[in-house]
Formats: sequence, C-alpha cells, structure tokens
Amino acid sequence: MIELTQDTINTDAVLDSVASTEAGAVVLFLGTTREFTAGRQTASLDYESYGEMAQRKMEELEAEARRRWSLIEVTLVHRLGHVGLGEASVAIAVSSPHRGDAFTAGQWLIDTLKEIVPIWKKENWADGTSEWVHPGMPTTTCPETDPK
Amino acid sequence: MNIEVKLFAAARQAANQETLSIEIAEGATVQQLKAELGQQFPGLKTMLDHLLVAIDTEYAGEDQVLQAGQDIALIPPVSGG
Repeated sequence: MIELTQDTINTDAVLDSVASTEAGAVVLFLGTTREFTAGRQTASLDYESYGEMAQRKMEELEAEARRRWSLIEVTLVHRLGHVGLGEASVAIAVSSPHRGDAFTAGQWLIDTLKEIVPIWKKENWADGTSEWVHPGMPTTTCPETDPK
Repeated sequence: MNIEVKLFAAARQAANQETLSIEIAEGATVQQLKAELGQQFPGLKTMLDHLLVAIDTEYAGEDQVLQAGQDIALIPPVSGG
C-alpha cells in the first residue's frame, strides 16, 4: 500500500495492511517530529510533495524492495501538510517470513525514500522563522509572502 | 517552444509562483533549460546547481532533450521522511 495523506497516520491501519498468516515478522518504522535539531527548537513541520512523482517513486521503491528481499506486504505512507511535534510524518511497514528481511528492507526503504522521493519539509522554528530543508543547498528563510 | 515548469519548496518560494512559463529553443536540453531559467528568474540562479529536473515524473539527465507537451518540474534536494 502506497499513500500520501493530509491526515494523521493511523498506525493500526498501517499494521493491518501488512498482516499475513505467512509472516513471521512485521517491522514498523515511524519517522516522528523531533523538537531539537543541533540545539535549535522546532515548533512544527510542513510537508509538500510533487504528488504524481512521489507516488510513482514510492511504487518503484516497493517493487525494488520486493525484488531484493522476500517480503509479503509492503506499506509506505507519507503525511503532507502540517505535522506537530512528536507526530509521525512517515510510516513504513513490511512483513516477511523471517525478521532479517523485514529489518533490512525497512531500513533500506526509509533510507532510499529520504534520498529520492520528491517530498520536502519546512522547519517552523520556535523563534517564528521558517525554512525549507534542502540538504546541500544554502538555506533560505521563508518570507510571509509564501503562497502555500 | 513554450514549456511550463512546476516548482516546489524553496524554488517555488524563490520564484513566488507554482509554475513558470518559459520559451526555449527546439531541441534544448535540461542543461540549457536551467541556464535559461537562471537568466529569466534571478531568484532561482543561486539554486540551479542544486536542482534536478524531472521529465514526465522521472529524473532527467543534464543532456536529455526536452519536447513540447512533457511534464517538466524542478526538483530541489528532497527532505521527506
């Protein structure tokens, strides 16, 4: 199951989506909003995506993970819009006959998602400033005129 | 030919719009599109080295030739997760 959603991620539904009597292992990864990054305080995050491409890239990740490991079900859910502290922005769940494949595939899926899926995070800092996070690119503080 | 370019995150913010319309030569490559964008939209100039281009929802190489009717987007370094 691949999903981009504006809603709170329902982890029970994510786990249900990978449940199988063939499975000996289910691994669930949640990426959650951390309050402090290098000593700087975050108030919240906002995510946006290039929807069609993000969906396609997440489908490709699932297909590649299934080629590499023995998996039964794979679910990738990424949240968009406003995400509060402690809340999950991404959920990855995999089921497999044995735990090794589930752990390895889960790690690969989140690492690769963060590298290639066109989704962007805006840090809303506690001091009232905001900036888009673009690894490797000089930072820009968002002006009030941001249309989104 | 005229093409529409989708923008996201800091690139959208720098140009202050969600899509740009730009005139490029027939047979222009991704690299030439980026150079043209830098000239016409100064706000994007400092970002260009960091931006990838997607054609029809697939990452494109710098030498790939653009064609009318394709879905073109500028992809700044991603930060999902």
